[in-house]
Amino acid sequence: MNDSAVITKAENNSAVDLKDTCYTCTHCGSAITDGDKAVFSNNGNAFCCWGCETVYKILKRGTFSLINSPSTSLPEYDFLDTDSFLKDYSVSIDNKTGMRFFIEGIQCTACLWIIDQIPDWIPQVENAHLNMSQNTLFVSLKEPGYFGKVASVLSALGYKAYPIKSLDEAKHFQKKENHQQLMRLGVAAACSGNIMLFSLSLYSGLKGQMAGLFGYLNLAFFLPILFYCAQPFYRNLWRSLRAGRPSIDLPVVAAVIIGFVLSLLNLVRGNADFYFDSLSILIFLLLASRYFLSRTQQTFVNSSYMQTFIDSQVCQRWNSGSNEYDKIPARLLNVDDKVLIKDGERVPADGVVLNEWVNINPSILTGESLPQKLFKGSVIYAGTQVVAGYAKILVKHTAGNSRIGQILKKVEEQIYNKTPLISLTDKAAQYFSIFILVAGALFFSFYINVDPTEAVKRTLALIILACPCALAFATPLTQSLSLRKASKKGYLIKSAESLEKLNYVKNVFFDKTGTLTQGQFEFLKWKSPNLEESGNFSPDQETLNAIYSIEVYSQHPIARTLVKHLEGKCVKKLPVHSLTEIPGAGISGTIDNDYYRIVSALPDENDKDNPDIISSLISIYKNESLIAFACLGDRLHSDAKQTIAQLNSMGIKSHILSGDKSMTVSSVAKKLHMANEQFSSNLTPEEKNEIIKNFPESLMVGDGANDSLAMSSDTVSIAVQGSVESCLVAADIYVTCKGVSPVKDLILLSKNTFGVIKRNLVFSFVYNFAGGLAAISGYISPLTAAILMPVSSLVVLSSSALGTKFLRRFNKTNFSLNN
Amino acid sequence: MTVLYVIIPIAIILVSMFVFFFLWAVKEEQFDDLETPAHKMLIDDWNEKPGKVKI
Repeated sequence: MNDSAVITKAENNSAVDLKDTCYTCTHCGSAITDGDKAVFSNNGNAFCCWGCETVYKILKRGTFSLINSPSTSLPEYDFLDTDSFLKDYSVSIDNKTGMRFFIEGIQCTACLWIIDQIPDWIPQVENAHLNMSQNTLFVSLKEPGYFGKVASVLSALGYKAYPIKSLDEAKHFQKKENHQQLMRLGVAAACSGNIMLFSLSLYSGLKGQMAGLFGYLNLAFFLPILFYCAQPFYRNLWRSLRAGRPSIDLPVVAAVIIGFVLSLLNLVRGNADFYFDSLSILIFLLLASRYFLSRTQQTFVNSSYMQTFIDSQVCQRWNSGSNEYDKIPARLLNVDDKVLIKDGERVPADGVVLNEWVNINPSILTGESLPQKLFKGSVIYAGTQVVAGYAKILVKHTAGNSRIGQILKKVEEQIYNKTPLISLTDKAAQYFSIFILVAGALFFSFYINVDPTEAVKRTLALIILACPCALAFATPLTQSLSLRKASKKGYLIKSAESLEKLNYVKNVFFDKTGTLTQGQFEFLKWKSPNLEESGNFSPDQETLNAIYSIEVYSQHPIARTLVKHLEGKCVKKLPVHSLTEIPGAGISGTIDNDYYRIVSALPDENDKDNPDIISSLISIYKNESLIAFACLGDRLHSDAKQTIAQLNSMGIKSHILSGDKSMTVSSVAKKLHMANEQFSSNLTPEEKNEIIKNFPESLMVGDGANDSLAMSSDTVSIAVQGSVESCLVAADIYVTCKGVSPVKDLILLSKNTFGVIKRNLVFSFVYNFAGGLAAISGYISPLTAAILMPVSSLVVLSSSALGTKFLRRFNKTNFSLNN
Repeated sequence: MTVLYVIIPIAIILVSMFVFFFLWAVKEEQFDDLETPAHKMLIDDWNEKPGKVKI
């Protein structure tokens, strides 16, 4: 894929037309619902994912072999094989080392097939096991030192791979816990199913000796449920009692124990009133809803990957003893060390620049889309990337104490400090359960003087009937169904809590570069020096050759965009003399005694043609006279404007927070019809955090490390596709498809989910109160209560499953296209 | 009704077999990944592969 001319929509205008005409994948034939995710090849074929594209290519060419093309390891993945990194991230199974990756971009069987081939391409790989439900890949090696190569191959195939920390104690425990839950659920299902079977014959009038036998069989099947399956309820109750909090498990445990004792007494006395059936169904349904909920809540990439990334990177330190550079991991750097950082590498520590100048990409810290030129003596921050030339720096703060290190530390602290918002229903159910028990006790102590046997019966009926388990599992069930729907669409919500918070969002804060815009430049058109809209002006071939020859030497994104555009135009590379980079402005050079100067870049205020493109003008001077403008643009996501309008109509205010220059930000805001007070520019990560703190009930949408601090504060946050790792860790929700329309989808999903929950709650409150009153006045026997209770749970269950019209349609239609 | 004396033990044996095999399957981690195997069976084994390592 690296050499083949596959292009995505962002990079080529013709692909935009394809997006509107192609609706099925050329390889697997499935409909392409999300045009932004699609992959387009040069000859006009559209594919749903990279996997399909690769498989199609292999099938077409026959001889095509990937063994040769992605053979070289990319240096950016070298850190995967360093000892310090392996210490935290590798797992050892049967004396082989393995590593787990989170893979972005897994779509269908083709992806599975292509990843299954990795052991054939890299013979040193023992096994590659992809888990599609968690999007994780486990790779084990025959000999060490090839993880970097695996990651390079994956990135050559078009997937993004993030290493995940090895299964530590906590993860291992979690896996065990999952197994335990599932085993309890299975046992509960088997036992309660059989209890129901025996109870059926008792209900239909079985009498005599056989009835006694069936009663004891019921008891026999109930014992595993009582002593094994219901354990979590006892444990939770014990834990919450020790913490002095009311617990939803209180009436469940009370009902189970009272019901069991009473049934046992009745059984021994030869009485046919037992409640094994309803109690076992109660336990089974509760276990099932809790299991689904815990399985749905995704826990992934929650390691401080970025920190390790900087820590473990190999860098070159000047050794004054041997007068050469030693290669050491960045972790071992000390203050006042001299370090050499080459083109493309990340700066391992905060420090001061020692050489004349260096171009860096500061986007990780500031979100600024353009490279920055630093001169001798200026401060350079860890995490930024050297894009042109090289840097020699004097270390002032090592990685942990660096600015990015501090930000990451704060992010991690805030993740642990997040005060869990105990959800409304949990609280209601907790107090309701206490209320029921107190009411039951009061009623019992009052009525026992009137009629002792009736008092026992009515109290038990009250506790069983009014037990707020319908209420208790209505919420987790509805939430887990919604979380499932969201994750099927590619929205990974880390906790049900953030789904809840989305419901109350009043202000949405967007980052600019990479969130509202695509964060990449594309070439739009040439313009004549007098800027008149004369259609297709183009500079002559000589100028094009000159521009190409000069820009080919620059690493600046604008230069790269121009070079990419010109490469298809049969340009020649001419010899250039006295090539100079003009700091913060552009590049100049002499070709055949003509002096050319190419300077960037002002937002183009006159451009009214395309409302989706934030364009900038690049002026091209020949011998100091302006000969042409190149018009470059950073395209807004196609759904940005629509999403912001829709959010507005929902009564939610949108804001832009950007670290970029105010001119660019205001031109974005203007295109999106946003008022002046709705955007702020030139912000540091700390300032972004301050602004958000002033707005309660806000939502942060971003993609960069500069957003992660704001994301980890008390607000709910969404990381869009292509976000940096620290952002993934800090954000509550991670979206794996392009654009910002998921923001609106998620808010609507949350609002609808809570609509259903409210409906369930109203129903269960009415049912509980009416039933409770009926039980106290003696209209309902414990047996009827035991039948009514699962029925009420069933009503809530079907209400949650049916949801609303919106929820039913959520996965079927693509709202960003249809609405 | 005497048939119940045959049917009930059979029911109990079936249940214990279900529970036994279910617990075995959970411990074998067969329920940890429910999606990949469904896709995997669509792929032909076209060359000899080393046996999969347990993860």
